[in-house]
Amino acid sequence: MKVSICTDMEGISGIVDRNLLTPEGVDYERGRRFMTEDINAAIRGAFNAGATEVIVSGGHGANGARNVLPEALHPEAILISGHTRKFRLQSLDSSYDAVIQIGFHARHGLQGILDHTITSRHVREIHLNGRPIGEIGLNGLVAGYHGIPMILASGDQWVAQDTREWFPWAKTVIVKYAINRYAAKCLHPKRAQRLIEAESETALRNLEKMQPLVLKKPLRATLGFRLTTHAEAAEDAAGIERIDSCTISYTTDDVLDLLRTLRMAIRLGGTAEPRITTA
Amino acid sequence: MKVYIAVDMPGISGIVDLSQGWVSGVDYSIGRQLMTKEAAAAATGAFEANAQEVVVSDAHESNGYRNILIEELPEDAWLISGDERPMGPIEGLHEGFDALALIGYHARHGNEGVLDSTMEPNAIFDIRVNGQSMGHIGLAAMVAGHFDIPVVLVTGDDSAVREAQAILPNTHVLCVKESIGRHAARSIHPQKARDQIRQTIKEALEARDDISPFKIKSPVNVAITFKYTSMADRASQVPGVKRLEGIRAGFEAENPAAAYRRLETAVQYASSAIAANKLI
Repeated sequence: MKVSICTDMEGISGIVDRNLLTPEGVDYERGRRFMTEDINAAIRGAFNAGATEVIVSGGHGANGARNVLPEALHPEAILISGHTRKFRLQSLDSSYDAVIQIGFHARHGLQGILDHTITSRHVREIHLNGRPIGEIGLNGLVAGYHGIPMILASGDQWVAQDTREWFPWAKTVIVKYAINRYAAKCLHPKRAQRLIEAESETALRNLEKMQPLVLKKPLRATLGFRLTTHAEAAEDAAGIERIDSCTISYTTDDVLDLLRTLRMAIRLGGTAEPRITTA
Repeated sequence: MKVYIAVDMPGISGIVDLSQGWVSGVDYSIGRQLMTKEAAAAATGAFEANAQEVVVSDAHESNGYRNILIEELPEDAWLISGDERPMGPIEGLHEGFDALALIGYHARHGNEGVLDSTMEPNAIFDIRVNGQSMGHIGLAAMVAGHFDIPVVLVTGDDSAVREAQAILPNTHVLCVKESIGRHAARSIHPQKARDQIRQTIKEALEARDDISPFKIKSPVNVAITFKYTSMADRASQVPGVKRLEGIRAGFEAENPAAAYRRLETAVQYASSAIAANKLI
């Protein structure tokens, strides 16, 4: 049994703010240790359930997605690390049996710790076929494309809600209760990790109850930027339609094409940034 | 039994200066260790007194209320961590808790002690509730009192302890240092402080039935004296807050919890004038 663990940092136990999330933060080293330990808990759970191979995709954009501490990671796991990847889980293929998401944040607009969709710098929200979707949903969609179920996500209570909306069959582990975007009532990391380990094992032992996320085609995504200038920069790419001042849309039948294009549109939109920094 | 433990930094044993208490200070990593260990000692003592739930709140505003090292707390404790909390240091204190302990607390602004201050030392001179001058200890106690929660223990320097005793006669107190000035003190050894906190909170929780919640008259009248008129200007733009005169603003609230919440908002908005005043 092959398990892929997709990771982020905002929903790691004990983490409530940017100080623990970026290399400039005073608590970055603590943050990456917490992250590695939460991931290790999921890895242990996977091996307990009989996994033969566990691959960890080191997410979270800060420090070029090199936040997981390789030497502290479970020795039997394989780590994918580094930046400028096309989209999360791009190395996934149909040989995997399950995807787990550790340390995530809710999509833009849900009132959790550091809610955002891809980036809070210039992106507001993404809708897919009319429904708001965040990173948890998009990652699970990639898994679904390969016929793999998304079976568990960890983070705050809003991550649990975001997850239930797209993956009603999946397990959720709440490691903290958000008070607002920057404060939470936190479980001790050791307790959080015991929950992650136990629930990951249970989720994998109940694989027959899980299902891949497959949506009706065509897939139509709309992406709302913060400013008109971001949408202007992004609409230059082929196939992208500007639908109002700050919003673009893209329609395709292919999940991977959708993910690649959204990522490209966001990078393109972001190139408009230097021109508006004084506004 | 559910216990809420608010932990501030100025009243921790060994802390005498902002270089230990502020994130950019050279001794901040030492300061947060001292703070974390007293928080852990209090939580451990609470569990030993048979608490089923212990919530520790990081009540020190530096670093966005993220000073306590969660990984060094007892595993069964919760930690409230992070910024922009509507109720500031006592966010999450509500009906259902059986006791409040204030660890590492300090005297109000002007009440000579280590790092004496009231909410925001760069903006606030004095806060009066129903005419009585109050600092963090009194403000936390009145919110707890609104929910019928007794303050069982206050720890800090001699000045903080005296301030607590003046309004909370049956509350247990523990003095971990004697202030010599705002930035100097004679401290007991941190290990001794932790041992005593662990023991004292146990005794205080066992005696909680003899400690009455701190009750004040409602509606609650609040008057704030700021450092500059510009701060009173801003505070009086908050709905419900009125300019009294010059450097003072005030309001009336239906109960102590509502009063504290509006006070946090008024002080936060008033404090946004600090930067402007530095330009003078």
